[in-house]
Amino acid sequence: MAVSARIHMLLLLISLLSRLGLGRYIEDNEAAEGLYSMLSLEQKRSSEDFIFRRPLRCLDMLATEGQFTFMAAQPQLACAAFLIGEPTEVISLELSDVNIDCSAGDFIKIFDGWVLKGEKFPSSQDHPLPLRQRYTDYCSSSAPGGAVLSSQNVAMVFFRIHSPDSGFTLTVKKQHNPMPCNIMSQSPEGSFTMVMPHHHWNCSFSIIYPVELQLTELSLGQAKSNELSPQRPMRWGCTGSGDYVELLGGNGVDTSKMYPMADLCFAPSGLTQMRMGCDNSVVRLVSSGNYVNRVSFRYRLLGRSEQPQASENSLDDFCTVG
Amino acid sequence: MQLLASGLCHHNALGIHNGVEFHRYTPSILRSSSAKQPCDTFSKCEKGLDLKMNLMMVCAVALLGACQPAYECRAVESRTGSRLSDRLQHLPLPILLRLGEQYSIQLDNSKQDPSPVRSDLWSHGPSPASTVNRALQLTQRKIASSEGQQEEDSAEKEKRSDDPPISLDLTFHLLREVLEMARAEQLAQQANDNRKMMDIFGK
Repeated sequence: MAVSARIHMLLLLISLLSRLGLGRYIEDNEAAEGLYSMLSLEQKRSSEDFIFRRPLRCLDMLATEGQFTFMAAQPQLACAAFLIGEPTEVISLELSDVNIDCSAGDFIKIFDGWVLKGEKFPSSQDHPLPLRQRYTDYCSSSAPGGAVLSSQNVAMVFFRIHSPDSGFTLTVKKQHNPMPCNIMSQSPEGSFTMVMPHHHWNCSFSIIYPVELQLTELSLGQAKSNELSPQRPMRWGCTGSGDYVELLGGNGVDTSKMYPMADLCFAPSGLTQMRMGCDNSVVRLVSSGNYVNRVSFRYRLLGRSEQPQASENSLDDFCTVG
Repeated sequence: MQLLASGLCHHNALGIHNGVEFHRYTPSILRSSSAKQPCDTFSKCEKGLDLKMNLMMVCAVALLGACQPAYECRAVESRTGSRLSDRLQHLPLPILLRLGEQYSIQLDNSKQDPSPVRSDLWSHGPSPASTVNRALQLTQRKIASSEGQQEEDSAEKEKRSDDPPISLDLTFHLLREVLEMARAEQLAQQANDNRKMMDIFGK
């Protein structure tokens, strides 16, 4: 056999062997990123300043890594801390120095997602865990001793403390998520690309602002061409398709209770733009698992004058606060 | 693989049994009296080795191509200890509703007192009270008493089981306020870290 043929066989052998590998999350528990990794060991040991610390408030939103300590000066019966990261991050939470009295009614509960007015994000349809398993109760006998990792870029901590001078410390860390699904945007402007490779997952990108949305790229499994030749009548939407993108609007965070404003089964020929005047605007990618689906979009905040005006006695404006 | 790796594969028919023809693959190296000539020159041995390597490679590729794993590449979940069931039986408190507050926490407990508990407690700690106190919207909910739930149907039970056992009533306006504060804090902290990093590298 010639040398070139042998080389080809070797390459083929290597490519076949590579399929035996497993995909994993990129775990970045210990290593630092960027310039921090260039510090010497001694500098790292003395770099306590790089750990962000501040007191935790009864109602708080945490977007940074660090240690947050709550100390009750007086009984605090209704407290919650929202946590949010970048779209490609998941949140690791760890409790330490906990000084509460569970028997007196104190509790600390970590929720995998956000809960607002009885509605949860991600919805039960889109989250891999059942609802009860999304709560981690510190006072439960089966509470884990280590860190709790969220499934998406948001998490929440509920806590109640009766006795003064009781409290706890919450350590927040972020980890990279190579396949983000169910994302809450931190800002009212930006852009993002959702990719779903051969997974039967439905993923949502939620923006808790009224925005103007532009779809810049759409690649779905059933998109054969840009010709307007749908297999089903358009008046029934894309619900019969296994792969599509839907734009939802509503006044809550639960995507299963929001109103579908538009859906796309195939890549449009021109620019797709929509102004969504709801408190929450969602781009949801529904995938059958048979194809690699991809949607890119950008969004910007709608000013008050730009928001769609509802005419009187109109049934179209379903986003008004009632 | 071991048999194939040991040398050439020779087809040795053993006969037909029950309509199936059996064959035995015997490497030439295991044959007692092989007609194969020994390597009397270096070039002959090299050619023989080349042939063996090529055949080994072809067989390895064929086996790997035929025996591909059935599973698909997927991310391995590295979550630890997050699967806990939430038991609120030891929490008898009903809704916590505070006058003047923009939020309340709901606890779904069938044994709770239906009358809402009102508290005058408010945390004015280090939080920016002026921002939080804006946009008053009282949200009041009633939780049906356990006495009235004797004859609830299964659909109601399923719906209630899907309701989160603990929730926070917060307006979107207030949520955006605290989100923007968190973003500002994140940017400030990032700038602070960058400055410290530059100080360290500048020394």
